[in-house]
Amino acid sequence: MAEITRILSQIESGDPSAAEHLFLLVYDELRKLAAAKLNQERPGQTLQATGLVHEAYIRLVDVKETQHWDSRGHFFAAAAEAMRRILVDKARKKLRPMHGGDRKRVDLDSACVLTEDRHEDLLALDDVLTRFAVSEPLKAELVKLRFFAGMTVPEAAEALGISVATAERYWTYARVWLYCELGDGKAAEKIPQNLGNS
Amino acid sequence: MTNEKPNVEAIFFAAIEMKSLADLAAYLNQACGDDEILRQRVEALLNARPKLGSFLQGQAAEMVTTSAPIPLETPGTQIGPYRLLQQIGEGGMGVVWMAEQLEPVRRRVALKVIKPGMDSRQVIARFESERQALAMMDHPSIAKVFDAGTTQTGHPFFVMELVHGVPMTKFCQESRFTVRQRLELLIPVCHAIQHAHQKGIIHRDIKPNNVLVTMYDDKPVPKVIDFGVAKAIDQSLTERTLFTQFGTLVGTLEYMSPEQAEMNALGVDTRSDVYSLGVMLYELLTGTTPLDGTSLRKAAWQEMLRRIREEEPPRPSHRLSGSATLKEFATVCRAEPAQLAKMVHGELDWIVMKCLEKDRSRRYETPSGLARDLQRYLDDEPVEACPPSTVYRLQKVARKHRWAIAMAASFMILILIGFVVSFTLASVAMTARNEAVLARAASEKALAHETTARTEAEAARERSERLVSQLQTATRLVNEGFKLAAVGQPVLAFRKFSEAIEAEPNYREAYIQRANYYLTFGCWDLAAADFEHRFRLGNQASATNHFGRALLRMHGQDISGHRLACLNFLEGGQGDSPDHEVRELVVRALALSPNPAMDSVGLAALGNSIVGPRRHPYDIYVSALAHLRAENYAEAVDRFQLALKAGAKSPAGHRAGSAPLAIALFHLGRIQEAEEALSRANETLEEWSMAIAQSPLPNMPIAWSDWLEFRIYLREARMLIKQQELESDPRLVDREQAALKYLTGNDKHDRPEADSEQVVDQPVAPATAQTNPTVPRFWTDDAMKDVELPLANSIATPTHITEEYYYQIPEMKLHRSYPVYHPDQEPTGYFEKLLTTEPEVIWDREQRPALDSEADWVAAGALIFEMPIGFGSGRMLPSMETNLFVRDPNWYAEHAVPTTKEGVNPFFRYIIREPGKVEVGVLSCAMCHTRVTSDGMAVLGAQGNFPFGRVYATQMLEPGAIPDAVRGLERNLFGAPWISPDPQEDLWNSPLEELAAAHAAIPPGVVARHRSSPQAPVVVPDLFGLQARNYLDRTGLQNHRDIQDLMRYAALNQGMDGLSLFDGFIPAGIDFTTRPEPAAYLFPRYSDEQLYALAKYVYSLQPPANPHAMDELAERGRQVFMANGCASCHQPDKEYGSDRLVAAPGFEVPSDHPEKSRVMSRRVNTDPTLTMSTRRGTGFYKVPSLRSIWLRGPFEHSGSVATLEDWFDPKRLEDDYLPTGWKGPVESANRAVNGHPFGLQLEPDEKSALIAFLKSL
Repeated sequence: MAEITRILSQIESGDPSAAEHLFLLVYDELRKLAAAKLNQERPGQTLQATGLVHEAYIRLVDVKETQHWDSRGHFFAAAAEAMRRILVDKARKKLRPMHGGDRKRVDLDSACVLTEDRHEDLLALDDVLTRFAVSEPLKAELVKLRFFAGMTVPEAAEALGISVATAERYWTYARVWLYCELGDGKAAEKIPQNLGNS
Repeated sequence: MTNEKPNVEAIFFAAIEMKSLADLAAYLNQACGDDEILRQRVEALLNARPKLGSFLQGQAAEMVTTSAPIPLETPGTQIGPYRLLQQIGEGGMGVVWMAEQLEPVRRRVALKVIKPGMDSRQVIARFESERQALAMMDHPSIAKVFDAGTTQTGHPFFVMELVHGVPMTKFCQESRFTVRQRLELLIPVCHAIQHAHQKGIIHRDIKPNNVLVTMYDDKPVPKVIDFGVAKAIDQSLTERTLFTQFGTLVGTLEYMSPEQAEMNALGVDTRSDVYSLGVMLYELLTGTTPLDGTSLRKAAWQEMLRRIREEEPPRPSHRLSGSATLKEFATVCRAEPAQLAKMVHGELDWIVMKCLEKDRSRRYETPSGLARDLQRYLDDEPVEACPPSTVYRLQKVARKHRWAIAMAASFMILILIGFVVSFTLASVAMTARNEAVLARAASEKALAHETTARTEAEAARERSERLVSQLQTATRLVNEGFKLAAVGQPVLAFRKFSEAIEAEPNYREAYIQRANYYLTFGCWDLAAADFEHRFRLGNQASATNHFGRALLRMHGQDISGHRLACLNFLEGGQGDSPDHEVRELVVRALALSPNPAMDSVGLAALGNSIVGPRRHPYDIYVSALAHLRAENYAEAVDRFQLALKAGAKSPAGHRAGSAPLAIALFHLGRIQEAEEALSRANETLEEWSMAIAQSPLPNMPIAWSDWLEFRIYLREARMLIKQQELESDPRLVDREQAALKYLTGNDKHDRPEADSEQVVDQPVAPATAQTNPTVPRFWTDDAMKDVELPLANSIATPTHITEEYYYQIPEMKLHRSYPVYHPDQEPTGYFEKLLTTEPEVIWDREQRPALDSEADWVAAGALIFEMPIGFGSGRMLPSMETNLFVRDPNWYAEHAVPTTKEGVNPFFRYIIREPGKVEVGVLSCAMCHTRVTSDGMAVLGAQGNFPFGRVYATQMLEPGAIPDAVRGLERNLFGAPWISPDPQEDLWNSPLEELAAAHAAIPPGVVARHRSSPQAPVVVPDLFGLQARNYLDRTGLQNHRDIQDLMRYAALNQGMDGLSLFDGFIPAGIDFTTRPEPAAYLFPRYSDEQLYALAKYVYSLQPPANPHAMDELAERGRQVFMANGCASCHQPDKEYGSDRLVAAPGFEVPSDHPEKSRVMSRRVNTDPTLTMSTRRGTGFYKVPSLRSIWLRGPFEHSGSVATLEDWFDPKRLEDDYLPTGWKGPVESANRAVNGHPFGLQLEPDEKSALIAFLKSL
């Protein structure tokens, strides 16, 4: 706990390497939690990102010490990114034919599978999201919080430090944008990447 | 209104507000104008909107599910040439079907489909590898395995002979078999297993369900099924294979051998099958398995495995007599209950227990061995198995002994036929081997000198024989000792142990046995001494012995000894042992010290490796210890609390967790919780002390290791939190006295024997012990390679001189030296007397001071500490001036050189190397490390206060000083030419006056020592508590792992690093590029013994009594200290310092830096010059210890502020600050003293309290 509290305070004071550090910590914790969850479940159950992220928050952050800081946002951003990578890596591995083999380790890889065919969707979405993040970093962040970390729009708004109304607007915009891109890959080539914020 | 193009987003949102399509079209026309691309984009988004549905409204995580259930086979399913007929069984691993094979032969077979969760390809591959061997098995009691393959759904299956049988135990119950019949039935099973073993097949899963009994011609015939299956499905057990994959528990836990429970597949051999046969035998005789399956299953995963590995089951007869169902069971055995128990008691007990030995080397070697013993029993012949308990232990020793004798004998034979033999042997056998090698060498010589050789070989053989006979005697005595101990004759027993040791002092086991005996009495010191004896015979030892040694050393507060014990423990790669228990002992040993002999990353990883998926509380507790020492305090706290909670009802071990928990909490600054935990630990202490005090001798009611471990952590916690010692408990002292009395039969206790020998790398003996060390060669190429950290610019990381070169440098000859007095206070006639005093060598190759005890070593070290290494007029530079300035009163006045109240100038020594010539000696350790206090005391080891800078500056400008020589020396001392231009360049090129001014500006207590710079001088450190420091030097330049590292530091810094190669630059080299011949080097080298003595002396240095009491103000200061988190870096248990490094501003720590794990993530912005631009510069600064800071000053690494008050003055961070200590490089008198911004904003009263506290340390 002390470690994450310190990292959060380093982020507050603008240390750029601290964010990466935070990410790694949260990533590890979430992987562990996800693996543990999946191991407890009967076959066919799904993960609940919201629960995982909140559990990670409680486990990692000394809430008493941290609440007066504006650092929940940093934490949830890291968590959302971590969940994104966990799930996307998962999907990517599933697409590789030779995956598996070492089944001795109880971890996320061997404990869960992606619902049939959904991994490709997930990878495609992630691709599009990555492009979206170039022009619209804040909105992409919102998508990560909402979709990967399972937060509600008001929660995501709080984490991003924007109003709920703005978040709702962003959310709508992000959804149509991503939907468009997914629906018609060619459209993306036609639209200059910087159009969004020119 | 603006000509800026509106963006897609804005247009999109405006557009969706439009009330009608017409409005929308109009708006888009207006907003997008003729920008077609923009318009298309906005329209695409608008079109997408109604189609969104629930797009992205869910969560990504929902796309991930646990493995879906897979449909199972049903009757009629065709699998290859087999058609499933009927399910005939279902177990943990899979479903067994009766199936019909259609081709090439039509027959009924058993087909076992393995449940989901296995990698079929691997299973089949493993099966294939054994198929040939399986096919070769042909035994009436083995069911044949025909085939293996994969079902359409991808699951492995096995096809085997169909056996219509009943599991063996069930069969015996149902048939009401007598004990004799049961044994008779088991014998063919043993033979069957033996047959398989001979074909190279280990069953690995022998259990009643795999031994089916059928009736052939009214005769019961057992058949072992499932050969090859366990191996193929690689039943290396993990929690997952047991629970998650199969849903139910594999039913073999009760039959699993301890080595299988270690989850180490490599470790399984034929004797694992013997164990399982033993379990079956147990069950046949008692109706229950040795470890009760029901309670086993209720236990947590790790606990189960632990019990299998550790729990000694009761003998069958005990189990029977304590059994509630004895009567029923006796009935099915067709016996009277009492008769049954009596029948089993004795030989059958022994046979069973021999199978169930945890150590497989003590089991029957083969299943046949078991069968034979069973047959012997049935034939009323004496069995091979023997009873456990005392006699058994005697036998154990005797067995070992027989082996040693056999080895020795076989060596003699081997010699004759000229074999070279290499075995790793117990020390005794090793000695035998050495004798053998000698004899062999001798016989080689025989070609030339036949007669002599024969005599020598003869002599060697005689020695071997003598050794063997000594061993026999020793073994007999140890055995007798055990017997006597068992019948309550401790005095006689103790005597026998001691006689055994006298008879064969190289018999390791005897020491350990005696130590164990002492431990049951709570005689820690005696036990510790025996452990040391044992380790003197070699470091090859069991993990338990290593752990015991480390524990006893730490308990005896021998920190460096403990560290060495840990290093020895780790030497054999024990930290990577596949054996969970060994790793656990490694962690427990390492974690005892706040300064563990392993880096924190490695330690934390090791700790994590102990915790299995089932998270047994004890494992969590041990892993918490690892995290505590890895300084992951938060993690440690979590784990301790978890373990304490989960293990609240367990008797020992994690109960003790409150003490280390308190330590961890304290480091987190959670003081109140720490105090609470400490008070819980105190309760445990009281409870345990009481239990021990009240238990009769010889008996320790608490496992001794738990007890000592607990006391070690409690002692640390008390010191840390309450600054209280762990006082000795009169009840326990009384008990120990009574124990000694009991053991020796005397009121007065005498040590059983004096410590006879002591070697340097085992500095453990009590201060009174006789010591006669063989100092090891400390300057080895290997050791010197990484003794220093890489420099900040790693290109310049020096290569030190080789071992070969070093030892060619002539050794130091230590002459007697005499104090220098202030001329005004010199005793009358003193100097004149010196002029007539003969030179006296007190330490060289021929003579040396007494070195018989620890105290002797320290005293000898003091001589080295004050021994000058430069001689002449007392000048650092070659100069025309030769007057002895130390005899000039004006010199003292001009340079403000302090002297003691007796008038002694402790920085210099008179030395007489030639008759009639008195020289002044300089550059001793004492010259820098002596502080003359304001009341005229010379404190050795304190931050020195000789005004180096002023004195040197004067000499530099003396008439006759040669400018080139000055500049050459400067370059030698401070050059760093890999920095281009060398930061010193300007100074060297400037007039000597300027150079001198730079030096003169350096105040006492600060030195432009070599490898630093007059622009970045260093404060002189004090040497108190040095043993606890991980790094030496302000910049953490050198590792300090053991005493030898300190010896290396002393050697390097007293001349030898002048010869090191820094990116082509050799400071003391000819032209700074070529090393001189070793014999021609300016400085001699200290002998290894001298350095060892010096290091011993340095470790022994103590500060004088602190005049600053821990008063009320200081107590308030302590609270300020704690509340402001000072303790997170200045850790109370590390002498208020830390073993971590702080990176300087601008230093990027390379990812492969060897000390990376010890680098704090915090930086404090101190001036980086010293550590970035000098030859001492590692890029880091050490966290200084605050212990005895009252005796120090100036402060900051370059001594820029004079007092602690100045240090906490916020003005020092301002650019126009005038430093109160070292002013800084000459040209800039006003400058900020950056760094360590902590404490500057405290309220004045808090500040003065904090300072009062610091001064009280």
